[in-house]
Amino acid sequence: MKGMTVPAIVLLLGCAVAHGATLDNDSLAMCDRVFRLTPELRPSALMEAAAVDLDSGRFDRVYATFASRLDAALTTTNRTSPAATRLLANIRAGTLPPHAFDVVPSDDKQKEIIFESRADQIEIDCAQVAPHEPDMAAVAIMTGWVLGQQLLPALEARARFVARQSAAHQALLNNGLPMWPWELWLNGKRLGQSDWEPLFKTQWVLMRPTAGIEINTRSRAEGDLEASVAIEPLGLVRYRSDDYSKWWGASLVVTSSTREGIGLGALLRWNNLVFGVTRHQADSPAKSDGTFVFIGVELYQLITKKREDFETWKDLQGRRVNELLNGKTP
Amino acid sequence: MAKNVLFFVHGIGVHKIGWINEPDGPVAALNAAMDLYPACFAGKELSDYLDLVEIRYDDIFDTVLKTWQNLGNSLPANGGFDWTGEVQSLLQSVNGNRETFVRYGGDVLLYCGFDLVARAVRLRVSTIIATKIYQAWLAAGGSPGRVPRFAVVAHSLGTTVAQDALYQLAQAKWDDDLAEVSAKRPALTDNAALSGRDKAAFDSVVAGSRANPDKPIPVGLSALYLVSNTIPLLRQVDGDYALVQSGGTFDCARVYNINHALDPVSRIGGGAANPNPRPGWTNVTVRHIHQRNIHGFGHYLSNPAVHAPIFARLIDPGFTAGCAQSAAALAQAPEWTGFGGTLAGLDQQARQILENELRGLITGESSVAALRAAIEQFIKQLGD
Repeated sequence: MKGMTVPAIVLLLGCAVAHGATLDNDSLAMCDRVFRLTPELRPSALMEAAAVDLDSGRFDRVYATFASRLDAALTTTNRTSPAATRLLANIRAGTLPPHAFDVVPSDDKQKEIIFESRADQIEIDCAQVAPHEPDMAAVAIMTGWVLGQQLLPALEARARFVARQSAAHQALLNNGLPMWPWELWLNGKRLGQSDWEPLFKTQWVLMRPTAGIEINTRSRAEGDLEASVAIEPLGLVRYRSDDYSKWWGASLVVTSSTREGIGLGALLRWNNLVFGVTRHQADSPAKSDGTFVFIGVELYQLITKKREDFETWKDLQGRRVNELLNGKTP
Repeated sequence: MAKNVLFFVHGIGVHKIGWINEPDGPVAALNAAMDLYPACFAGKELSDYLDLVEIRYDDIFDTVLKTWQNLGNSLPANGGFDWTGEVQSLLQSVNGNRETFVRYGGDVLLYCGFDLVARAVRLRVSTIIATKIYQAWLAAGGSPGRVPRFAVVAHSLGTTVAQDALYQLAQAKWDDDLAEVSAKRPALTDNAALSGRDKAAFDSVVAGSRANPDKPIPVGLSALYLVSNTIPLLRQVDGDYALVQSGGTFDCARVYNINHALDPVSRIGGGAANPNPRPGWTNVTVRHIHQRNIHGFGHYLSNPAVHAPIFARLIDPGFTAGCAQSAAALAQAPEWTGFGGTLAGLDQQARQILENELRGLITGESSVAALRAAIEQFIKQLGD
């Protein structure tokens, strides 16, 4: 195995198109130079040696293979150096994150660094790269690459989960029952510290102004269709779909728009449709309490539209009857 | 060949799709900066070297503002409750105009005052980063030894948004979280409470975390560039991403805290205090004044002291030791330590007035209200 200790050879020195600390075509680009690697430590050789273990997901054996190959390629002196000892130990352990094994330049490009910002950081002086250092850097990069591949299922799972979480939150803001500023604040206070808890499927309603129509059920004469604002002091909405576009809910309601004074009651909400009943207390003994129906604007618009549709349908039928009576075919 | 990945996170203001490529955006600024080193880049552009990823959360603020405006408009003018009219009036005064909203520090208010908005913003950022990291590692699978390098450059409010999102992403110990959530709310983890799609995603995470036991799934940033850092004042999570580590390895290998000596945003936001909380932390303080908007993302990036660490770390090949030396020398030149650019011709008196104006915006108070006031005043001065 002594042949493996042949030092890495500098291929090009100070070439115009230098490479960073990267592996490419079995050579290492580092310190603005390209180094030839010990044959047994070239990426293709390492991959060949670890192929079976990589395929079977035995990553611990892959790291052991890499470490033993590097160990064998180093001279006794180099092997026992603090830097090599740290590197070999971390490769064998296979527990550091991939980026720890990256070989990155210092800002002034005078050094290349492995285990950057760690207590056991390894620095390679670009002014005097030792013969074994390119080999060490190459095996470090390969180890980082394998660690990244080992992590791939976790990275995929995380990406999918985060995307799902993001979509849920955006769906609530885009599709859910629109929240007034204080409702947005209140419902936000229900969130925990972690962004990864599933988003709630309910929404608190608080002091919510809701536009609608109030109708007196007792007196047709007084049952003017009057645009009004009801306040929902407290209520709850429960979402019925993952995209937060469907919901039902219930709220207490207070109205004050009619000439019957303050009305108290409750309302039900089905998506944007709101239907409630309020009770207005008479302000004199001569008058009795009144019961009002509260219809949200959307429901009112829906009813009006249905009514218009019905009138249109009646008109159409009427025209058809007339046409029949007049002997015309429809 | 796989490129290193650079994420851009914007700050306050209106940012449309494609904002990084706008003429006053960060990519244009970095492309212009590359022209300072013709021997290094030979006319190439940033996108020739790096995979540039735009992160945008602006539309979430738009959605919230539009919702409030619609709600205000939905109320009848005379609704019986006077205060609803007040609310309506307030919302209509903004009139859906994000520029006006931004002027009054609205973005800061939305992010710091509304947890649901803040979380939606963080998740947007996390989604883009997590997805891109997965894709890059997946693509690297066919090229043994090709290790993608990831970096984030964030500006102003974006520094806080990025830090908060990255902290959540890097700190998520999926197994632990699962156990904790399970203990608190058992209904969640028996999956019965989750719908079909959420259940599948949840199971997927459990499987992923078991493949990577006893530690969080790393984000693994090579560098985080905090440009006009607002994190100390605006942070919405209970930890600092820069300090997150696992097994003695920082999740982000190197952090650059980049601030302008006269920038009221980072001065009030606390980032300019120049802490040194960990190994691999670099404080960069710039003093150049090339335009009145010294807070601008592009204005910061144009300075060699700012763009050189980005180039040196991410552009391989290209930015050699010689290029780094050129940048270091340039950063010390008068043009990059004082007035230059469009303000190079300003006479001494006008320079002094402008500097005094900028200094006048920096109050001793460090609060969201003070920051919003400074933003309002700063934008007003830019318009003058």
